[in-house]
Amino acid sequence: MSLLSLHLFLPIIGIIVLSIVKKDQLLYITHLLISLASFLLAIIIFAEKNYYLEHSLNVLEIIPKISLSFSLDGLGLIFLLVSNFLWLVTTVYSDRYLKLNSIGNKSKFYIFFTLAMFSTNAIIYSSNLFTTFIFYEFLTLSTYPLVAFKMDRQSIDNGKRYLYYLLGTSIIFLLPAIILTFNLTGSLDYKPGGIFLDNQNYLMINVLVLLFLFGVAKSAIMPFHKWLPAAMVAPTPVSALLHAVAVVKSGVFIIMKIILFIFGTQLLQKTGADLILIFFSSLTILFASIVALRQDNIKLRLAYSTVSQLAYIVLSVSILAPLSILAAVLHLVFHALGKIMLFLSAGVLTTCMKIKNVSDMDGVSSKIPFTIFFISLGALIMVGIPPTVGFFSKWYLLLGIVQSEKIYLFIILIVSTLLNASYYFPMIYRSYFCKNNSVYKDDQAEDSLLILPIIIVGVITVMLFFGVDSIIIFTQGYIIK
Amino acid sequence: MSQLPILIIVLPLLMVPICLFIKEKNYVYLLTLTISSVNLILVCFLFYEVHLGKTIFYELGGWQAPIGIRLQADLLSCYFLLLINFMSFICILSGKEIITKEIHPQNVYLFYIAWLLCNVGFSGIILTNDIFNLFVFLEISSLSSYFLISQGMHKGSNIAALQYLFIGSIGAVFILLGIAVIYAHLGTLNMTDMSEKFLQIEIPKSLIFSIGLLITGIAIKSAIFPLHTWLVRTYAYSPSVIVAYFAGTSTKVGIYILVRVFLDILNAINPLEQYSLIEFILFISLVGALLSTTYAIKQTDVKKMLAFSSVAQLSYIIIALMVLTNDSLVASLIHIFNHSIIKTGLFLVIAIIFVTNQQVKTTDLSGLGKKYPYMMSAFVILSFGLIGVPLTSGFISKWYLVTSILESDFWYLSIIVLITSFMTLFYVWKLIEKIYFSQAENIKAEPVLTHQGIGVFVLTALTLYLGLDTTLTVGISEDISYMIMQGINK
Repeated sequence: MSLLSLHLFLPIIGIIVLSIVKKDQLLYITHLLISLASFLLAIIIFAEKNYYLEHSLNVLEIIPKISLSFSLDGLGLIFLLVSNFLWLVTTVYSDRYLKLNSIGNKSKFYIFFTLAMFSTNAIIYSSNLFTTFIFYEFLTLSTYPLVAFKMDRQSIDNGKRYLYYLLGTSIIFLLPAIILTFNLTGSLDYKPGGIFLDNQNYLMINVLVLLFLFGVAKSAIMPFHKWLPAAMVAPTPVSALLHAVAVVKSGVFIIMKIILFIFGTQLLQKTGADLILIFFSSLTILFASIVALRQDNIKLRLAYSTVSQLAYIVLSVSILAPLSILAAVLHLVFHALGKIMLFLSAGVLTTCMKIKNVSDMDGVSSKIPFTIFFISLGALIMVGIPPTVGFFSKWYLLLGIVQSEKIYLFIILIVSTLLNASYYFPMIYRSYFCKNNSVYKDDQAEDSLLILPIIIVGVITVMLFFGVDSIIIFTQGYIIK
Repeated sequence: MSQLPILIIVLPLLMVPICLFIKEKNYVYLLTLTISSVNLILVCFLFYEVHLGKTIFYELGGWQAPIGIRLQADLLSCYFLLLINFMSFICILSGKEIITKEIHPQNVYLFYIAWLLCNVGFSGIILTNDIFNLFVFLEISSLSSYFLISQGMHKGSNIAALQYLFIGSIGAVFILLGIAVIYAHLGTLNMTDMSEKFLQIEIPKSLIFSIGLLITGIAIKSAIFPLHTWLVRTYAYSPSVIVAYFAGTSTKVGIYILVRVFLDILNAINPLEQYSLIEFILFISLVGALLSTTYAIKQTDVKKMLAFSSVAQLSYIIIALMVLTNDSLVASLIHIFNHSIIKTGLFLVIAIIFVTNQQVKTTDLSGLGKKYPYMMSAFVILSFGLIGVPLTSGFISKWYLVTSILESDFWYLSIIVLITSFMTLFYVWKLIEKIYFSQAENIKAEPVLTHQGIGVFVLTALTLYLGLDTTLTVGISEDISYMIMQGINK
C-alpha cells in the first residue's frame, strides 16, 4: 500500500520543496521531477494493478462510517495514467510558455499547479463520496489562484465567477445530495452495482440524480457551465492541463463513478432517472456547439467545445449500455489528449504569432506548420473522423445507442458532429488556404520547446489509433464487468 | 477528589480580596492567569474522574442533600465546565496587552477581578445542584458582566451595559418567579430531589406556567431569538477581549441551564409536547435562524455581523435540542463546543488586529491578507469552520445537525439549516473578499505583539483537530446524551 500513499502525497512533498526553492531554474527542475516521479509511480501502479485494485488505504475515520480513505479502481487507473502523463508533458511547455510570455511569480504558479494535480490524484483515489467531496473543493480552491493569476480586473472578476459557480453548486446541490444519500443508504462508499437498495422512492432517486448532476458543476453540464469559459483568462498551460483535462475530467469522472458505483445502472434504468441525464447532456452538447460557433476567440471556442465534448461523455455513460460506457471511457482518454493538443497549439499561436482570434488565422500555416498540423489533428479527433482516435469513441457510442435501443439519440449525434465540424474546420481552412495580406515570410516561427510536447501527444494519439484494443480490453476487463 | 467541585468555585473567590488588596495591574494579571490555569487543571482532573462513569457530589457544610446545598459534577456539567474554563484561560492568556490598551488604567485590576467573579458565576451555575443557588450564581456572573461590558472604549459601552442590566434583570425576575412557583409546588430546591418529585405528581397548570416563566428567563439570558437584541449591542460595544470571552461562554451557559433544568431535572418534555410548545419554539428558532443570518449579511460592522451569526447558531442548537432525539442532542452538544471555539477565535483575531478601534467596519479588513498573513489565514480557517467546510470542526457539527434532524419527525427543518448554512457563506465571503481581494487605502489595524496570537493559534488548531478527530466531542456528547435520554425515559 505504501506506493499508493507515496504517489498520493508525493505532490505535497513537492510543494514543500517548491515553496523553499527560490531560483527559477530550480523551480522548473523540481516541478519536472515531481511530475516525472508521479508519472513513473502511476506506471508502476498500473503494472501492479492486480494488487492495487484490491487494496485500500484508510487514513482516518472522522465520523462513524465516514472516513478519509483511498483506493483505486479500473476507471481511476485509466484517468490516473492520462492525467499524470499529460502533467509531465505540460511541465516542459509551461516553463517555456511562462518565459516567452514573461509571466512572473513562477513559484506561485508551480505551487498551485502541483496542488491542483495533488487534488486531482486524490479525487481519483477517493474511495467514498465524502473524500471525493473534500478534494473536489480542494481542487476548486487550488485552481482559483491560477485562474486569477494575472491579478488584473478581468482575471479577478472571472476568478470570482469561477469560485461562485463551483463552490456554490457544490454546496447547494452536491452536499445535500451526499447527506441525503447517506441518510437513505447509511454508506457513501463506491460499490460496483451501487449502494442503494431496490425499494427506493422513484421520485427521490430522480431528485438525487439531478442534485448530483448539477452539484458536480466541474462536468460543465448546462446551465452551470459558465465557469469554464470564465476560466480561460488563465495562462494557457492552466487552460490546457486543468481546464481541458484535470478539473473537467475530474467532474466527469465523479459523475461516472456516481452513476456506476453509487446508483448502479439497474436502479437508474428502473427509475427512469437516466432520461434526466440524457436530456441535460444532449441539451448541453447541442447548445454548447452552437455557442462555440459564434466565438471568435480561439480559447473560448475551445472552451465551449470542451463543454460540449464533456457532455458527450456524460451522455455516453447515461445511456447505460456496456458499449456506451466503453465509449465514455474511450472519450475520456481521447478527448483529453486531443483537447490538450489544441490548447497547447493555441498557446503557440498566441506566444509566437500573437494571434488570439480565429479570424486572424489566415495563412498562418506557412509560418507555424507543425502547430497547424496538430491543430488539424486535434480537430479531427474532436469531430471523430476515421484516421484519428476520436472515431472510436463515436463508433462505440453509436453501437451503445443501438444496444440500448434509444435510436432518437442518433439525431443528436449527427447534428452535433456537423456542428463540431463547422466550428473546427474554419480554423484549418483559414490557416491553410486563406491568403493573408500582411507579410508572412516563409520561415518558421515556432519555438521548438513549445511544440515538442504537442508532437509527443500527437504521436501518442496516432499510436493509440492502432493500439486501441488494449484500452478496450482493459475497459471490458476492469470497468464493465 | 470529592473536594474538587468546591475548589473550582472557592479558589478564584479567595483570590478576589487578595487582588483587591494588591491593585498593581501586572501582579493582578499574573494572579488571574495562575488561578485560571489552576482552575483549568482542576477541571481536567474532575473531568477525568467523571469520565470514568462516576458522579461526584459535595455537600456544602456537611448538610445532607434536600436541605443543604449540594454541588454535583456529572459528565454534562464537566463538559461545559471544561469549555468555560478553557475559554477563560485562553482569553486571559492572549488578552493582557489588549486589556492594558483598552481599559482605563485605574480600572484594570477591577476588570480582572470582575472577570474572575464572572467565571466563578459560570462555574457555579454549572456545578450546583440547587436551583436557588443556581440563580444566585447567575446573578453573580451577570453583575460582574455588567461591569465588564461598561468598561469598553466606545461611547455606547455604558448604554450597552445599562441595556443588558435592564433586560438581564427582567430575565432574572422571570427565572426567580419560575423557581418560586416550582418551590411552592414541590417543596424542594434540590434539583435531583425535584426531578424525583416531579415524576410522582400530576402536573398542574400553574407548574406549566412556571416552566414558561423559566423558559422566557433563560431565553433572555442566553439571547435566544427574538430576545437577542442585547447580545448584538453587547458584542458591538464591549471591550474586545470580553466579547471573545462571552462569545464562547455566556450564551452557552444559558443553554446549559436549559438542558439541565428541562431535560435532566424537570423532565419537562411531556408538558411541552402537550401544549405544542415544541412546535412553537421550533418555529421561533427557525425564523430566528433565517432572520439573523439575513441581518448578518446586511451588517457592515464586523462585530455585529458575528453577533448575528451567533444568534443564528444558537437557533440551530435550540432546534436540535427541541427535536430531541438521541442524535440531535448529540448534535447540539457538539455544536455548542465547536461553535464556542470558532466564535471565540474569530473575536480574538478581531480583538488583536484592531486593538484600539472601537468599531470595525468590513472595509477596515481590506488588504489585511497581505499585511498579517498568519492572523488572517487563522481568521479564514475559523470562518470556514463557521460555514461548515469539511475538515473543520464546523463540518462535524453541521453534519450531525442535518443528519439527526433529517431522521427525526421534523425532517423538513434540515432544509432550513442547509439554506442558512449556505447563507453563512455570503457574509463570510464578504469578509474574505475584503481581506484578500481589495486594496487597502489606509489600514486602520494596529495589532499588538504577535505573541498575543497564541490563543488564536490554539483555537484554530483545535478547529482543525476537532474536524478530524471527533472522539472528544462526539464521544462525550454521545455519553451525555445517553445519560439524559435515560433520565427522560424513566
